[in-house]
Amino acid sequence: MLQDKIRSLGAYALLVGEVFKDITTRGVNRGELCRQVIKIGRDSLPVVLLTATFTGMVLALQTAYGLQRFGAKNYVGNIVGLSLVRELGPVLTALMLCGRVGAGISAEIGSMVVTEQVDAIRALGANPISKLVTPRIAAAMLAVPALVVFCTLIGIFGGQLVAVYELNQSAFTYQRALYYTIMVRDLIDALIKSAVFGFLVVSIACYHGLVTKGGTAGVGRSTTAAVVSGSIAVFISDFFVTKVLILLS
Amino acid sequence: MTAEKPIIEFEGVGIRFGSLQVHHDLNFRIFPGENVTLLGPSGVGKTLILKMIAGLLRPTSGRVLVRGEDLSNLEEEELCAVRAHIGMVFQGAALFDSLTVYENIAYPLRERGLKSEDQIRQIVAERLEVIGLPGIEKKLPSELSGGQKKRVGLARALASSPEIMLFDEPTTGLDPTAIRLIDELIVKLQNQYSITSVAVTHDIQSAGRISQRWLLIHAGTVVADGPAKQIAAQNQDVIDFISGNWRGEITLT
Repeated sequence: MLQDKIRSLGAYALLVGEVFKDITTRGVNRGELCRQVIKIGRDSLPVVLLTATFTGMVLALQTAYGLQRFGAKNYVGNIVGLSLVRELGPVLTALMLCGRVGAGISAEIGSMVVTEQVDAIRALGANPISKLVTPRIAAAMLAVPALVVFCTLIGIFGGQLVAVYELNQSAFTYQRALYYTIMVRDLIDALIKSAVFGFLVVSIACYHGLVTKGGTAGVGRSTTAAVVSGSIAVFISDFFVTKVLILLS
Repeated sequence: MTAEKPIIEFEGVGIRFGSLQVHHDLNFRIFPGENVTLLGPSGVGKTLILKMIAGLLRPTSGRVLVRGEDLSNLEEEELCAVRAHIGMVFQGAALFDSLTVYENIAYPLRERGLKSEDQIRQIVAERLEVIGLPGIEKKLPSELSGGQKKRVGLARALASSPEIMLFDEPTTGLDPTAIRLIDELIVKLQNQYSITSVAVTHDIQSAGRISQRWLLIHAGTVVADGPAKQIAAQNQDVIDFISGNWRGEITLT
C-alpha cells in the first residue's frame, strides 16, 4: 500500500518533469491554451462567484458575532478582507476547481486512455504530454489567479452586504478597514498561492487520468482520486506555501 | 514473396506487468509485403504484440526490430520517426471524439508537418474515397456507426502512407456485411499500397481473407507459424483452435 503510494508519487514527479521539459523545448500550443483558459477560467466563474458571495457574507456574520463580545464589531472589514485575500479566496477557488475542473480533466483523459485515444496520439506521431497535459497546466496557472481575484472581490462585496444591511455599519467604515488592512504584499502572495494551487489541482488530475486502468469503472476511480488527492494537496501545500511566503516577506 | 531483410523481427521477446509475465519468448520475422494474422485465445496478449511493433510498449526482455531498428534503444522522438512508417487501426477505432472526421484523418499529417493544408485536404478526400465514405469530412465520430468508425480509423492510419499496417480486431462487433466490407477494404489496401500487414482477429473467416500467414500465440510464445492454408489443415493446435476444441490453458507464470 505504502509502496504503491510512493510509486505513484514517483510517477507523478516524472510527469511533472516531462511537462517542464515539454514547456522548455516545445512551448505551449497557443490555440489549445486559449481553449483551456476558457474552460478552466471563464466556465468556472459562476460557481466560484456564487460560493465566494456566500462565504464573504457568512464570514462577516460570524466575525461580527465573535467580535461584538469584545466590542470590536467595527473590525469586521479588516478580518473579512484579510481572510479572503490571504486565505479563503485562493483555497476556496482551488477546492471548487478540484471538483469542477479536476474531476472533468481526469474523466476526459481517463476516457481517452481506456478508448486507446492516448495510444492513438502516440501512434500518429504526437506526444500526449504536450497535447493533453501541458496546455491544461499552463492554462490553470493563468486562469486560477484571475479567478481568485474575482472570487476575493465578490467575497468582500458579500461581506459588505452583511456589514451594511445586517450589522448597520456604513459602507465607508467597511471599506476604510479594508484599505488600511490589505497590503500589496497580501495580493501578490494570494496570486502566487493561486498559481501553485492551479498547478497542483490540474497536474494531479492529468496524472490520475493518464494512469487510468480498467474501463469505465477505472475512469470513475480516477475521477474520485483526482478530486481527493487534489483537495488534500491544496490543504497541505497551503500551509507550506503560506509559511514560505511569510518568511520571504 | 519474401525479401531478404525482415521488416519486423521479434527476438526472444518477453513482456511482464508487475508479477504477470504475459510473453516470455516470442520469435518471428515478418518480411515486406507479407500479410500476417495473429491468432490465439482472448487475453493471450496479441494486442500487446501490435503495440510493441508500434513502439507503444517496450518489451521487458528480447528485441523488437522494425525496419532494422531496435526499438528498445530508441527515445520517444526517435520512435516517432519509426511510427511514421506504421499505421495502426485500433480495436475501438480510437477516433478523437472532439475532432471531426476531417481533422482525425488530417491529424498524423499535421503532426508530422510535411504537407500543406491543400495537400492535406486532397489526401483526406482521397482516403475517404478509398474507404467508400466520401463527403463525411464534417461529421463527428459520435455521428458514425461502428463500421463507419472503423473505416475512418483505417483511413486515418493510412493517411501518412505507411509501409506497415497493424489491425487490432478490425471487424469485432460488426455485422456480417460490415465485416465483409472491411475485409475487402483491407485486401484492397494491401494490393493497392503494397503494405505489410499484421492483424489480430478472432474471426477465422476474416483471417483467411486478409492474410496468407498465421501465427498462433499461446502461453507467451508462438506455437504455430506458417502459410494459413497449410497450418489450418496440418497443425493440430491450429485445427483445434479453429474448430473450437482448443484446450490449451493460458498459463501465465
